[in-house]
Amino acid sequence: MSQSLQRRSSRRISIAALCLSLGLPGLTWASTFETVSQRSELEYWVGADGEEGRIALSRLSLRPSIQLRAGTHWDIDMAARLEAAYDRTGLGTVRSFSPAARPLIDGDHVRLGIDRLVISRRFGDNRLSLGKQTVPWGVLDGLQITDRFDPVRRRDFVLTEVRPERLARWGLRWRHDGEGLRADLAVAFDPTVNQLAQSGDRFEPMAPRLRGGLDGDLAGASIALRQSDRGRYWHDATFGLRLGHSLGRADVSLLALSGPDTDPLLQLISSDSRQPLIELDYPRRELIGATLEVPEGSRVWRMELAHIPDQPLNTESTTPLSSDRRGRTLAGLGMDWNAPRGWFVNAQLAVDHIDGGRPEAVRPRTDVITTLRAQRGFMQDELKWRSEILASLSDGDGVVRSAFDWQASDALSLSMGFDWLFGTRKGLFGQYRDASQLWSRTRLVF
Amino acid sequence: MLERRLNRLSRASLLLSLLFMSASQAEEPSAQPWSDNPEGVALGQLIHARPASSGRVGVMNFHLINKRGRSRERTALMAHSEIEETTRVAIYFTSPASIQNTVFLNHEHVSQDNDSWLYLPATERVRRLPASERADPFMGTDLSYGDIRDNFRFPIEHWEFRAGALVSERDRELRILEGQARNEESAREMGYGRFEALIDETTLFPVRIEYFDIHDKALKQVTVSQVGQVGEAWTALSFEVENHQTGHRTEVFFEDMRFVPDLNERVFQPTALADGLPRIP
Repeated sequence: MSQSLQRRSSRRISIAALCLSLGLPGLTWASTFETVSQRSELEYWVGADGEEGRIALSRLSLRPSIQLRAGTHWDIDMAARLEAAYDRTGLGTVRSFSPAARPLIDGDHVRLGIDRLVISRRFGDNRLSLGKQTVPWGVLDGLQITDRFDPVRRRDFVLTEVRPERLARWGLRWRHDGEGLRADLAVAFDPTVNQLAQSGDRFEPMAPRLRGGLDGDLAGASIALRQSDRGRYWHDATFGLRLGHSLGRADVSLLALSGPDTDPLLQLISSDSRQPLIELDYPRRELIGATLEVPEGSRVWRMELAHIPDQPLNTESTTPLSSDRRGRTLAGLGMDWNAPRGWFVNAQLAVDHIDGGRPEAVRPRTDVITTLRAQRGFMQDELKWRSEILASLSDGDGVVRSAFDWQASDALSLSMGFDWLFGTRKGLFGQYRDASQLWSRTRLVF
Repeated sequence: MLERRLNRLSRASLLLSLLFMSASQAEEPSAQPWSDNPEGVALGQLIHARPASSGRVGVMNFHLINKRGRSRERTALMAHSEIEETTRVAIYFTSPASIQNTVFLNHEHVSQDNDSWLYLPATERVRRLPASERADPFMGTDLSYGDIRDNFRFPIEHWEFRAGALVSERDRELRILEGQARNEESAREMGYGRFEALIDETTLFPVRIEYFDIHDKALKQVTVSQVGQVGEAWTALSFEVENHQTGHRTEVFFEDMRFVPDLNERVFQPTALADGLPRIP
């Protein structure tokens, strides 16, 4: 009953936001709107389970978007997402979304939601943006060192074309791009924290380190799971400030943010032996960080450093799902290289370290992650080959991915590839070792 | 600024005429060794120093045609500016939908390496690109990144020049200019070992360039079919690039090319690329 009310309330809030966003500028400047760009992307993604050859992924999505302009200062950017899936991968949970960010249509197999809805105004060197938007910070690819303002989709683990897949949130952003100093201040009044796979779906977190140290099936009949309240818009708002400056040809930035963690902390709410209740909570934490980007001939070097003084985490204890806060330090180094003969190579290394303490955290004290990507275009980029390995050097697990993309026409592209996951079932990658897949993607953009 | 450039151009033209006068009285220049051809060097330098508008904007249309005759099309807003020692080019793709809102930005500096950025809407980030690899194809066209940067000039740090005779073509007198990469490193970086070009000395624009690869095999032919004066400078408005080795060709033509001397700085700022198509009055 309460879920139904919450869903209806979420829909009302979203529709109201949509109408407000569209209506206000429309009333004033309807006659001066100019379409700057407009496109729709229709995509079908199908994957077969590598072990048994069954269809494990079958997802159809339609993503229309439009950019409008009014007068000399106003911009409106809108995008929607309609998805349908009937498979073992699923569309992911939306319980970790705020009511205002939830899909307008939320079925088991079909969803329709607002991907982006932003109204911006320029004031000289300043730009103010209001609406549902992303705040992409950080300079590394997919490794989230400082890039932790936005929540991300994890329903497909990391087996997506673009990483991370950001989730837009309702909020306000002010950017200043003056002589020398660049400032980016963002506030998301939207407690959306992530999108995980639903219980029982292929990429449901299975490693004990992601389940508060618990082994076994959390979705089993004897344990009830719930999300913490995601409707506290002010209490769980995210605030962030990023300052950037050029040093010669290098770009440096410093940033600080405060908001709910995007990884769940498992809390035991009720230890009733008949049906224990576990809550996925997202306590607030602060982060300070810095980035550096330095071009050097045919290479660009990227570095990030972040410190979270009070990272909430589950600990190993005689009391199940106990938790604590520890200092967490993340560092990453990456390099883009335009190699000879048209090859592009990207290599990255990241270290994620948790301060020691008693009791020990359920996750390893130090994770070392590396990524290596190579790609090349052929026949005037009609055909592209890309291959990458993502691996945890500390756990000895990883994924090897390879794909061919064929741009059949300006509108139609076809891709085929495989993702092979390997390693220990307790590892970040190895937990999904049974989810290796062969896949194909057909995309029509018009 | 304009006056200074025109004066520089007239002085250079005079010098060139004198050089060619003396050359015509002497032996056939193309027979001269590369290291001893002042006419070629002078012409190469003139082309390199050809004035460019401080700001121009136009709609750039690409037709990409493969050897089977299948055609793909690209349209982009191109903004170009040369101020002091920096040449800046921004290309905002507007169609087809699959690459809409993709932006390429390049700052070429005289005294240091170039800076390039690419904005891909899917990643939502402006990505700094590694410099060099001028020879890499630009966005699936037959132009290389170097071609885009050079804008029908021959970088004098990479080329040795040799001027040839005047030839008549379509009622125009055109000067033969040959170029040879200064060394293996230059050849490898450009993807060209040498070129043969026909130069219109009035506009200092090549009418046709035949490029040879580093193994001296015919690589591609660039044909400039239309130039126009935009502001104080000549600009190619229509040209074609044909790759002899792949059979692929790229036709490029500009529409609505106009002189915008006070082009907004934001058009060329990397951080502004994610904001989409710039407003240009």
